[in-house]
Amino acid sequence: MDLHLDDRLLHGRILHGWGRRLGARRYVLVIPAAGDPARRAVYAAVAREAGAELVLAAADAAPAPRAGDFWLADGPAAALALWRAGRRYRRLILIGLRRSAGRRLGPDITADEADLDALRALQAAGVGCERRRFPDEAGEPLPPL
Amino acid sequence: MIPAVIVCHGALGEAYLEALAGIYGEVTDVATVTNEDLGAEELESAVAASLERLAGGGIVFTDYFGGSCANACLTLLPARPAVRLISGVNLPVLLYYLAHRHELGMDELVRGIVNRGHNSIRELSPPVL
Repeated sequence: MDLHLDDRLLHGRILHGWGRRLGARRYVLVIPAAGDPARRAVYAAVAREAGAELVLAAADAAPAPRAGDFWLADGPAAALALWRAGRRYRRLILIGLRRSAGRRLGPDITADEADLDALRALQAAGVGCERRRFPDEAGEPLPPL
Repeated sequence: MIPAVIVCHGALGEAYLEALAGIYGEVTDVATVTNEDLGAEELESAVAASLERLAGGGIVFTDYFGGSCANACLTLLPARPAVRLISGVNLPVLLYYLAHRHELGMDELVRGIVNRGHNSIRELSPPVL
């Protein structure tokens, strides 16, 4: 499986640009266990509208992957936590990461120091990290971190 | 008078204001928020700041349900019962809002806006000559 990364989680680009094109039937959002209840409720409503199932899971309680899944984390820290919890993914696809300050790694991708540390750790673990805005674009490797 | 905020992707909100100024004249008490380059939390903060002006009641227009703008608004709505949220904003809807925001109460205004939105998308036939 691939893990996608977008700090906005379930929003327009994910739903229309990725999910519909890839035929996503279930969105798995890797988020902190104590995530904001209002946001959880919004994501549930959005997934319902899209006709897809939604699973909100902490990194150490993620479900088993299945066909039609679209896995999504809100930042490199969540991606690293998922990896460290033993869930293996083929690659990490950075779609959007919009920090107010940090290093610009590509369109819609600005990483702060904590993000960079987590991405370095993932790369050191052998995870291929690429940036890609839409599924029909070629993925580009991240610049040296 | 019921104030409003337009929360949209990119430059849409400002573009709506500009178009309204050309059609309707000067537009007051309507603010805009864009999601451009904002992370989820920053966008929520920007929307929350704009909602301060709606503390006494107001309408938020957003572009579409499921987008980051609507998500941010929905997240903030539970703590702001005097604020109403309408998705699918377009020019007919905004023109209706401007024309009626002084005379209608909130419920009636919202009902009218939604009806106007539903009626605003239609296939137009060429005129019979």
